[in-house]
Formats: sequence, C-alpha cells, structure tokens
Amino acid sequence: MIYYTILFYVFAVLAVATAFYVVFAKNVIHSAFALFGTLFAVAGLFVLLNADFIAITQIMVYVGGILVLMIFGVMLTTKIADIDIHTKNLNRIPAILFSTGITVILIFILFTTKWNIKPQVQNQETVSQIGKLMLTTYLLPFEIASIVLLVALVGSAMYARKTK
Amino acid sequence: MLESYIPIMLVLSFALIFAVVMINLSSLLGPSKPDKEKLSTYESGMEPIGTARERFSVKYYMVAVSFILFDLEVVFLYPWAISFINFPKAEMVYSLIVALIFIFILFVGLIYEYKKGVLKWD
Amino acid sequence: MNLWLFILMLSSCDIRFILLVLFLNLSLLLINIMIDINFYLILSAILFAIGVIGVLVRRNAIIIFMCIELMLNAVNISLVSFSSFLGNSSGQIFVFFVMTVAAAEAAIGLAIVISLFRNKETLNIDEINILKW
Repeated sequence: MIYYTILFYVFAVLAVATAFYVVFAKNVIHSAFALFGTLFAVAGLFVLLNADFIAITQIMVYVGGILVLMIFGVMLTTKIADIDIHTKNLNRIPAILFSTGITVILIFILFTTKWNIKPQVQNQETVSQIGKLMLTTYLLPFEIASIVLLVALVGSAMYARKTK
Repeated sequence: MLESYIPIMLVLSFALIFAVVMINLSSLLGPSKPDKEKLSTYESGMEPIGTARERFSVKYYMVAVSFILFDLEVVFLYPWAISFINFPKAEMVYSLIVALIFIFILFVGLIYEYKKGVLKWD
Repeated sequence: MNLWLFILMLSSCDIRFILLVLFLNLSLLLINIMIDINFYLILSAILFAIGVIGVLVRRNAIIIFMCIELMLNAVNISLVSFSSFLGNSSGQIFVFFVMTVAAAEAAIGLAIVISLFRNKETLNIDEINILKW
C-alpha cells in the first residue's frame, strides 16, 4: 500500500511540474515536450485508479496522436528564421489570482461534499464492462462519436488543403 | 494489481537510464577534436541546401489527422470486440450491425479523403 | 516530529538542514495518509487551474490548445476517479467521449490555425481579430 502512495505522489508531482512548464516555457517546442510528461503522468494515475484500458488509450490517442499533431502544428507554422517561435505572456498576476480562486472554490466544494464511496475492487477487468455499457446504455453516443470523427476528417481536409 | 505493472516499469526505467547513460558516456569518453568540416550539417555527403528549420508540407499533417481519427475508431471498436463473445446469440447480430454502421460512417470519410486527393503524394 | 530532532533542528542555524528536516517530516506525514478520492480531485483541480492560467496568460494559439488539452486531462482524472471510487463504469465511457472530442478539436483547430497562419503570418491571437469591432 505504501508503494501506491509513493507512486501517486510521484505521478502527481510530475504532472503538476510539467504542466507548469507547459504554461510558462518560452519555447513552443519545449512546452510540447513538457506536455508529453503531463500526459504520461496522467496515464500513470489512470493505472493507479484501476483503469488500465483508459491508460493505454491515453498513451495511444494523446501521446501518439494529439501530441504529434501539436508538434506538426508547430512545425507547420514556424517562420524560416527561428524568431517567431518565442512568445511573450501578459496579465500574469490577475490570471494567477483568478485561477487560484477557482482552485480554492473547487477544493472547498470537494471537502464539503459527502461522496458515496464504495470499496475499490482490485484486479477487475474493465474492457468488457465498457464494451457492454457502450452497446446498451451509451449506444447513441457511440454512433454519434463516429459522426463527430467523420466531421473532423472532412473539416480538416477542407481547411488544410492547398488553395489553388 | 500494481504488481503486474512491474515489468512495464522495469522496461521504462531501463530505457530511460540506458538512453541517458549512453548519450553522456559517448560525450565523456569520445575524443573531441572539432573542425569546420565536422561541425557542418551532415547531409549524406552532399552540400546542404537551406536551413533545417523549414516549414513542413501540409501532407504530413493530413496523414497525422487521418491516423488519429482512425486510431480513435480502433479504440471504440476494441471494447466492442472484447464484449462481443459474451453476448447471447440474438444480440450478436444486433451488435454486429451497430458496429458496421459505425465503421460505415467513418468509411464515408475515408472515401471523401480519397476523392479529395488528400492521400495522394505527388 | 521527534523532540530531539526538533531541538537539533532549532539548535543548528543552517537553513538547509531545517528545510531538509521539515521536508522529510512532511513527506513522512503525507505517506502515512491513505490516498482517497479527495487527493485525485484536488490534483485535478490544480491541473485545471494551471490550464486556466495558460489560456489567460499565453498569446500563442498552439500553446492555448495545449492548455485546453491540460484542462481536458484534469477533467478526465476526476471522471476516472469517480468511476473508480464510486464503483460505476460510466465515468470511463465519458472519458472516451472526451478523448474523441479532444481529437476532433485538435484536428480541426490546428487546421484552422495553419490556414490562419497562411493568411496572416502570425499566431498571436491578439492580432487575429478580424471578427472583432
């Protein structure tokens, strides 16, 4: 059990530290690589939460897909000379105050709510459960997800095509 | 539960340590006598043209987009395929039809991409 | 905290030593607490707030995308922890839909960013204001 706690703190500190680096890094490529650390730490947290399939999906979709897409986006939009890759930031103090307020409110709500906690089941197979739920209760969202993907495919093909 | 992840942790830590040690070891142990010819960009023996910071072609981006969207299709179909066996006979046909509709909708997108010429490398 | 350690800490005027002892005691304290749902939810709130800071502070469109992904990840953590601690698999299904929407958003949004860059040669969202009047 002590390993569980230590692993939780390792992943939590990794996630928060790399998330800070994503926000405050001067170089866009650096923040993209820091985002890799955050996504990986979140996948580790999913493993700790008994959601192994979600963890694998996180690595497959976020790290293997979305992050690569982000890096392609950076590569496609840099100027030839490497000047425009750095960006400035502004309004630091109001933004930090605002988001600290959000955090305080959220944590206050968390501690005042009585969660209806059930004992955790270890070593449970989640994939077939997810599949069953997806074909019964969440059938319509399952089909609509394919339409969302179709629209994304068509839309990005429309936008990114070279205009002649 | 967590014990079954020990091999993955071992592989990950081994990869990390191996990479860091090898990179640092080669810079520590190797002789370092740089000259102008050695420091120039290696381009398979030819003179490099332009810089390495050039913009990518948008075709790479379209391939990445197609990859990620069909990746998600696989992610959705995987739990379906796992739970397919456990269904009773009557529901099997039903769930097969449901999944075929899902695949067909995304197949329309693939046809659109093909007709639009996104997948062509000329 | 042990008494003799406390006296030792105060008697030595080395700030690094005091900090080290405080850190060790804090980590011993933290390790002995059982990880329950509140820990995950607090982590999720912190990650969400960092994403909010990024969206408010940075002016680069791609960084703003990354911060939106951070916020979506924070929400995913809280969904999965609800599903794990409250014993209901529905939370994990929501995570799939969040991932679908995130992927679609990244594909379309970055395509829009790329075509904006082709037309305006900038990614600073303060300069992309043609719809503003």
